[in-house]
Amino acid sequence: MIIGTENYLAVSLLLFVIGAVGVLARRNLLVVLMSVELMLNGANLAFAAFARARGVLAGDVIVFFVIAVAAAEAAVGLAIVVALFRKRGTVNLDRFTSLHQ
Amino acid sequence: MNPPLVTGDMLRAAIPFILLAAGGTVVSLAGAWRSKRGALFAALFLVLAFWKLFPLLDLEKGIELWDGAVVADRMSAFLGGMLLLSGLFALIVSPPVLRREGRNRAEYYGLILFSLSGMVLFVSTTNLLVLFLALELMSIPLYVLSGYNRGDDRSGEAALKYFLLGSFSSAILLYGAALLFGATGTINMAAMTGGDPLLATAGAFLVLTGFLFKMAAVPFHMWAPDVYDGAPTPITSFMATSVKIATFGALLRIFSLAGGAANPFAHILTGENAAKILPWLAVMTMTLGNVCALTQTNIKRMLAYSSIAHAGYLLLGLIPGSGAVDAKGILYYLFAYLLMTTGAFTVVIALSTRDKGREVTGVERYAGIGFRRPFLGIAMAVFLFSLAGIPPTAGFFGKYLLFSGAVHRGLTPLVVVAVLNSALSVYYYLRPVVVFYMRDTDTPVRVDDALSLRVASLAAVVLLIWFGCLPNIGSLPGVPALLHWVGSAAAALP
Repeated sequence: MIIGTENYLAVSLLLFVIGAVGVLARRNLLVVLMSVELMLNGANLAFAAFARARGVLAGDVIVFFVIAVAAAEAAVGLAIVVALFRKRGTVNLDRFTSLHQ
Repeated sequence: MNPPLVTGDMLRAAIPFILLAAGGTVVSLAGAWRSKRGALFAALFLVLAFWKLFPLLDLEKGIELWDGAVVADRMSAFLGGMLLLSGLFALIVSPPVLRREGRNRAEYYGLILFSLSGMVLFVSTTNLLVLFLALELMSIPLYVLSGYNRGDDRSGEAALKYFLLGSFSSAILLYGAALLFGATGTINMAAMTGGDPLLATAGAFLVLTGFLFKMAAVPFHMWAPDVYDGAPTPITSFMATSVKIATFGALLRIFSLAGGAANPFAHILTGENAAKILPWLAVMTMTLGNVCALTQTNIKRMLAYSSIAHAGYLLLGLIPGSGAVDAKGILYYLFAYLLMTTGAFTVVIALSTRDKGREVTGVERYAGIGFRRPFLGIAMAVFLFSLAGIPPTAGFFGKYLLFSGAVHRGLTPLVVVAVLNSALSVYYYLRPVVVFYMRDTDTPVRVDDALSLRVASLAAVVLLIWFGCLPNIGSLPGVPALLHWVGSAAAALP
């Protein structure tokens, strides 16, 4: 059996959609952070698959950069979550409502 | 013989970009020894970058840097100049606020410089990789900065909200970039042609969605009022202006490529059905922004909704209609928007007080300020009149350019909606002025008299009126000179 580009693309789309649904539907901040990572990795897989299919190296290079950026983003995101957790003692999104008054 | 890899011109053009990133590093590191002087160091780098950027305004032809990944031309120079001005305002108005709270540290200013370096790259590239990196470089420092006020619960929540929706939108943009790459086999948007139409269109739409999130256009605006409200006011002012300039600047560059019919973005702009999407977005954005602003009693939230409405007006300029994208109108409007929004937030900073660690910014507290503090009263009135588009301010002139340009491109129905919207906006823009002058209370209001706040608001007032109605006086540039710069920047686009 040959696994073609469209199979990789399907998986990448699946990852991206799972991530997007996770960001919108889950209430636990840490799960939401992980969902964002899933979305980025979905895009990474698409880049890698296309780079392979088209024989253009640029797509692979982007993947490396995205991995680094995702790490920076996760560091800042976790720092924000930790700062909020210290103050409120919770990581449930529904408990952060002081901006709605 | 091969042309030289790096020329002197290229180095000179790259210096402003390098200065900003280097400045961010130096200021953050120097903070370990001279934490109190952060604003000064940062301003030094900013002014240097500004000085090096200025000659680029006269470039005959764009200079390609880093193997074509970044383009330094008149467009990026003009947008970069506006971004640096926005950053300079942030550096001037921040120290009084931070000193009040005892957290005047250098990292804050270093982060502003990093964010600016991301923005300047963002408006100077057609390369998908650099676009994504610049987007993250401008956004990540802003996530941190909006949560800088750690004593205030709302600041942390603003950071969280901005981070979650910001990274969500970056991921969407990145997936769009992947699809564009897959469809066309290149990461240079200027070279993209043809490819699988479904992939290319889907990619272009996802990239556009990422942009709409950043500029807070309806239906991706939900984060803006909360984030603008919770973030420290100088940061609100900085991101309200600079992020808008950066996103609209980058979109101008990308959309101007769509002239080639095979470019993926042409599907969005000139395709059969797709052409209807942007007009709807523009109408929804300006209407929702204005209608929601009507009921706000907190001035920061009101200005947040007003900035959504202004994004709607600016979107008008991006609709090609029967012509091309209206770069000139957008640039002039962005310049006016920068001055009036920063100015209004500066007055808010001068008048804000704290109650149990929370910033209080209700409009009703400003009763009688107009007579007790004549300068602040007049300055705020000028900013709000300009935001409402009342002459003789730059806000009026910018709106006039944008709307008349749209009429010429055959978008008259949209302009009618936009004019009705700005009539509606007069109501909420005038309410603070009414409170300033027509109500009075006995309770004294604390006003921050810091020199820097007064300098910043005075500069904004003078520039707004100057570039709203005055001609060139001697060697001093006036409206015609600004129009000339705007025009030559717009002409640098393909």
